[in-house]
Amino acid sequence: MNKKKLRLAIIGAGMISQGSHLPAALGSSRVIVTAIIDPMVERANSMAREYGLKATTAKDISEVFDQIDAVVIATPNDSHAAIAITSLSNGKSVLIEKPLAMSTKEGEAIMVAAEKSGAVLAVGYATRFRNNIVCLKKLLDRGHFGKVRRFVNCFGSPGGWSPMSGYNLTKDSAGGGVLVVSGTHFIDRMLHFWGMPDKVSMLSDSKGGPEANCHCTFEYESGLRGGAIFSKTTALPGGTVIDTESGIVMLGEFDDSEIIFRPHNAPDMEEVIHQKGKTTYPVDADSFNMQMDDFVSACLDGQEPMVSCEEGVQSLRLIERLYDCAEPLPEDWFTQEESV
Amino acid sequence: MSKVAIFGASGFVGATLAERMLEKGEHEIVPVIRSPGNAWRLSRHNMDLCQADLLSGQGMDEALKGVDYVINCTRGSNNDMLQGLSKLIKASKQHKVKRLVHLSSVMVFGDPPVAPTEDSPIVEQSVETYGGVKLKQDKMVITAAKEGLSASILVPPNISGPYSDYLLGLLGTINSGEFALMDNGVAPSNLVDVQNLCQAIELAMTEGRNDASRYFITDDETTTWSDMIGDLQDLQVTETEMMSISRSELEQAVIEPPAAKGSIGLSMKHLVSSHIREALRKDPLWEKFDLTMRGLVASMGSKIEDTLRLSIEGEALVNKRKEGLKFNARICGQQLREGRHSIARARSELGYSPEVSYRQSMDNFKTWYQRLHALDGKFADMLRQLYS
Repeated sequence: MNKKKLRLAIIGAGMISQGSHLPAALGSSRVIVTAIIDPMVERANSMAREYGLKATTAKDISEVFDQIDAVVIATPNDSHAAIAITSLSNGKSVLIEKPLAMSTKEGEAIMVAAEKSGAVLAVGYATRFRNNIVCLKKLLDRGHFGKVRRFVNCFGSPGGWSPMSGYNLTKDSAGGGVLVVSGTHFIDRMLHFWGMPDKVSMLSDSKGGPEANCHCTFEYESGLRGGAIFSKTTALPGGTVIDTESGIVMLGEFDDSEIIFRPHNAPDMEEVIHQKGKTTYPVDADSFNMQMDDFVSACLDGQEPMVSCEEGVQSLRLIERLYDCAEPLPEDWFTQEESV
Repeated sequence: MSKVAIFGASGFVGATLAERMLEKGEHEIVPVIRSPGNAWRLSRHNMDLCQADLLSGQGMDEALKGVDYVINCTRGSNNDMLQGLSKLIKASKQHKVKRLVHLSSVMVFGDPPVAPTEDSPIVEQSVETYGGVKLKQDKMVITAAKEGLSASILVPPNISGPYSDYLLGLLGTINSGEFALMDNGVAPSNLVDVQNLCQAIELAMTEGRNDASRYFITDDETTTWSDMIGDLQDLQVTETEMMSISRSELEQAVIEPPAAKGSIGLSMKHLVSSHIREALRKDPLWEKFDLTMRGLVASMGSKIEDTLRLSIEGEALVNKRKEGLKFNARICGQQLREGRHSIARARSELGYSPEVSYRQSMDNFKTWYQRLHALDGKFADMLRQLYS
């Protein structure tokens, strides 16, 4: 292991930086946070004060290039590409909070910049660093449950996450609605598990702005069928359900959710499956901490990051395909005819 | 075209009103939100949202610029509701709005809210209760009206229809098996559909008295808890069975035990209890002190040690296993709120006439619920697994 320390800049002093990226960086013995960047410098100063940091604060990343080796980009989605390309062009490694960019085109431009610079580019799909996801992937790859026939993911909460910038309120700054803000995590995991679907469809409640609800379906040539339900107006029971040859597999949406298996031949029973012996990550690990460790190892030890730029671009491709075919989600509940 | 500012626009009533007014296009609307996190239902329309904070006053002048009517649908902590309304009244006066329409609650008449008409006697309540806070709000609006602010107070019971938090709460209790139906559900259920309430809000902007008189707004139907629970059971996704309970059992369950009286002796006991000492031991100095004290007590012999320990901690407690019914007393206790509220005043003075029947309202809720939960789609069988 390289004993050098990574000099890191956190770009964007919003909620995700305050609550997740900065604590993850400060918790690593291999990172020195040397700069905090935000167009509203007072916000960056406030975050530095909150954590007792003596980091440089600035409006723009170009002001601190001589003080850093890498950056975490946690800004509104519409600024990801420009900041990433500038940073990579200056030889700085980059961890970008999901989604990678606003469009496939932007994502590909980032990929070109990363290849040219030789610096690390990792995409912040933190849920990949959950032990339960690592374990489920192994089980699926080994065909433990037999053939997978269908899967569905469901995730919804009435509001909740309230970014300081309010970037979620417009398509221009978010690049989409609930599919981009919440659903992209499952889209990434779905591609990780089963690859790119052949046919997709989507129902969306957008009336010109970012959709608050969407229902997606996926079809694979192998016969596998999938669905995803995302909501920002309604509390939904979060989790993934997989219908396999031998039974139903379920996994909740938390770092410590258990993999539950309900066999078809014993519908009143269920088993809990977990990794035997040492888990990939510590049992109580925070996924953002693991993501930071992964990024630091990629930067200092030359290890491949867990989520590559290409995978980030694949997610953008699928999201674009879904938006391209989106149809209105019927909202006929205010026009119900009188029941007889 | 008049300009209407809806405060609390990202909430259940506020968002429904904003969507309804947007669709009708009769008013220029200013949906006022406190934070962007909950505004998804509105932002999907690509409408301009106005971010303002009632408590700090930030953004208020912008929100009320040129506004004719102000609708107060805000909710929040007790303190936020009182301070927020005080600031809203002040700002409405400053901006010379034509009328403030304030949403109150039947709970201002006490719990149970015994009030056949708006002139029924008001029961003073603690401001720690929801009814107490809403009553204090009413008084603030009435005082403002006496000082010259044109105002109207609408008094709804529980609000139904798509997005209804109230119905979602009941359904959650049914799904978790914690609902008990009292006396076969014969008690009246007082509801107002959110569209009916929105209709009344629109009317109250220009019609009726402007002296902060109260108007009951209900569906004006004789529905019972049996009707309502029966409808919600159609959406039940778990296999739990509905419990039955008698009025006397329910009354007994919802009576709160008297709060424990404080005493210096009791407080001292709490201070030296094992939980407090455990927390203090995390500090090295307190840990040393605690160790010394424990050593001192141990040196006095086991009998004295036991006597001291028992006087602080008390004897070992055994949790009694609960027998019989196990239901959510807070939710189920609402069945004791009997009585109807006449909407005669709203009919005659506002011109209010419920446009959505109870039947339509529940059908709308069911369609909405099943659609947004995708329980009417091709993955419904799998999604149901997540509820069990």
